[in-house]
Amino acid sequence: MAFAAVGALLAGTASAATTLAAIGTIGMTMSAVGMVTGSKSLMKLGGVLSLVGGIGGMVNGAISGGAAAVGEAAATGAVETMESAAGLADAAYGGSAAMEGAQMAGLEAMGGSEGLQSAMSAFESNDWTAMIDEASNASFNPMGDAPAMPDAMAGQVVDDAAASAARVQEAYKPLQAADPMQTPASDPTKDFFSKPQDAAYSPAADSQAAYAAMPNSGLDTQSWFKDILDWAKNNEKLATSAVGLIGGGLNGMGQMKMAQMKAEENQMRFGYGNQVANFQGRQPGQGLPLIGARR
Amino acid sequence: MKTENQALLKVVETITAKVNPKVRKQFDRIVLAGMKLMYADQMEGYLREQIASGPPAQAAGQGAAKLLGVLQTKFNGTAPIEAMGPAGVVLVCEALDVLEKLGKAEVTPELVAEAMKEYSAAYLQMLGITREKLEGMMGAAKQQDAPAAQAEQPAPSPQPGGLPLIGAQP
Repeated sequence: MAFAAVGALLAGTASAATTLAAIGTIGMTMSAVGMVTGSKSLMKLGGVLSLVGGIGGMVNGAISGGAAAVGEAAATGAVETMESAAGLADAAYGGSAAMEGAQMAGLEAMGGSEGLQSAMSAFESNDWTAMIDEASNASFNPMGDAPAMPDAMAGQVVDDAAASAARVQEAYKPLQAADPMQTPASDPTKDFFSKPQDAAYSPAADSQAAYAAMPNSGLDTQSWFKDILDWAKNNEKLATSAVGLIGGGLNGMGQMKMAQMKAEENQMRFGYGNQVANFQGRQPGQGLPLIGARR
Repeated sequence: MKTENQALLKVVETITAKVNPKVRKQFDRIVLAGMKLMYADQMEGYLREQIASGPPAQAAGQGAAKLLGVLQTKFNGTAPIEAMGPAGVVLVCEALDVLEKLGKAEVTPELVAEAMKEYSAAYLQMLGITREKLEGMMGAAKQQDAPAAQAEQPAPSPQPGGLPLIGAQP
């Protein structure tokens, strides 16, 4: 299996939340790069992945009963509500605390309501199944095929070692100057996350071995995307939640945001009023009173 | 990164701007570690092999994912995903820049997009994300409903005798 070493390392520690967060993060980066490069296919793929990560995180949060996502309400109640798209849409209008918490967790994973809108901007349809089909078709018919490497170039060596070393030094300088803790050693990972390092640790050698353990090829990108998209399309929980979120939630979130803005505006008004009411003029004997001050 | 290619500069700029400020420092360090690893003397042979492993998009995308994988093992999985994912994008751009400077490819927005797809699929597969895993995850979660529901009890209501909340019904 490709990348077995890293997969094994993470398999034991990666929770569902971490896994879905990874999908959401990668989805957002794909969408962002797609927007910059003008690649609709990348935007669609990224959009679906970021929705899967966000909505999946929301569903997972509610189902597993995580306190951070669900809030005070019982997880069972949240699951029952989640089963119904109508219930989800209702909850989007400020229903139970559990649903709000779960939705917010999911939206936050996607980068907020702006992230959700951004994820959906590339699609021609708001229907979950149609969106996935769009992304799936796009992944197999990318905008412009990348040029294949000419046979003559295969096997040619990298002959610019000196320039490569200079490039590293160039890239390293700003951080060296800015961060006194950065150790100018051959170990690129030392002190990164405050982990104690063995004095005999030789990262280059270990890294070389780790890199060598990974195959150069053998990954079928298109099959992988197809598999994941197929799962997302047919997963009932995901589809139901997506329908509710995209159909009702966006509208609900919009209304909630407006209510929040109105509340902030009122708070500002009351705050201003309080400040004016608390204003005290100069005390007697301190000279002429200010114009307009209350006696 | 030092490049004249506007497409790559724009991508790096955009991705960097999208990094969560809370993990920005880790992001910078991961990028730097990746570049140091990429250009380490001992890695030169592998760099050559990676360049020759397939089309430019695949070589750059999968190569960047593998670099991230190496770094991830060094960090014992503690590096935040929010920083790792975007850092990989910068490494992809660096790899494409190398390919262009070596005359192996002409970097266009289309090539960048294709490399990103390769990188994304490779990185997520490297994390062990497969259809089976996702099915097991979402399916397993449902079975945990009952014990999870019992563990997560709602907060107890206030004891009688305290002051009523403003607006509460008498």
